Amino acid sequence: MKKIIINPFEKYAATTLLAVGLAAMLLGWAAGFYFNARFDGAIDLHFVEAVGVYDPLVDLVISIGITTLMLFGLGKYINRKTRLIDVLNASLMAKIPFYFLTVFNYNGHIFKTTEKLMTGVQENVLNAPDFSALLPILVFSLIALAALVLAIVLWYNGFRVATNAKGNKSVFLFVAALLVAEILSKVFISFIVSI
Amino acid sequence: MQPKLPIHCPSCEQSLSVSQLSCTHCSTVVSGNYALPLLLQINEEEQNFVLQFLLSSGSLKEMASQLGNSYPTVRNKLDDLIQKINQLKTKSNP
Repeated sequence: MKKIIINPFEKYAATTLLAVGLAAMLLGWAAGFYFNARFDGAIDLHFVEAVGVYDPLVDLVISIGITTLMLFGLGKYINRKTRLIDVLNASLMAKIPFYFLTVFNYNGHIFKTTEKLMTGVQENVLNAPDFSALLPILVFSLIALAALVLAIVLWYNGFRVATNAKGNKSVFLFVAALLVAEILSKVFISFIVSI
Repeated sequence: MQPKLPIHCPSCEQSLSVSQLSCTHCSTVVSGNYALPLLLQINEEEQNFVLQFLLSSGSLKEMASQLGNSYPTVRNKLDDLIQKINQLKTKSNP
């Protein structure tokens, strides 16, 4: 069971993973719209006041697309037999933990609490922070951190199976490619939003 | 239980070679020093993989569905095995 959660890529056929990944992406789009979440980066999730219907979908298509292309380029460099579908599946599956996180913003809860805290910090009136307000943010932060770790583990396992990558060099290159994909997708999404 | 053919020395872990062959019919014994064939120098799991590859006419897709693994997992196993066999070949014919 544990292996299926952290590394489904060893066992399941590419078409099965693609179907699951795409179905999850559509559910992620719906969850993003319903809970006002933006997936504006390869490893990003932000809560906002309101989102347009297509905003979460555009975010997902751009971030998954750019990360897939970056990792596919790296995969081809490591192993010329790397297939695009296997790298795409890694990107699609790695996004799933982020979709679950959106439910924490039910009724704009996380967004409102963070806004309140940030306003307090900016106006310098937050001398004694209200613990009952901080607790949900702390709990969410811990769960978000666990989800981020799971996403990166899924991403690396998918990439490793797709490319047969081994050793520390491939780990370093993977992390570098993911960070570049994060920056590029962030820039590209803000460019799309501005036009 | 079918005894496993040892391919490494249990004492120093170097590759073993064949020093004696015998005929079960007339008990003739041949002694010498023969290197193990390449395919016997890989472990049993790898030998089964090669056999399965042959029986599925080299179709990795078919092997993947038979073994219950994904296509890249099977392809990676094959690539690792090719690399190992190349190393063994270089070692036996430097």
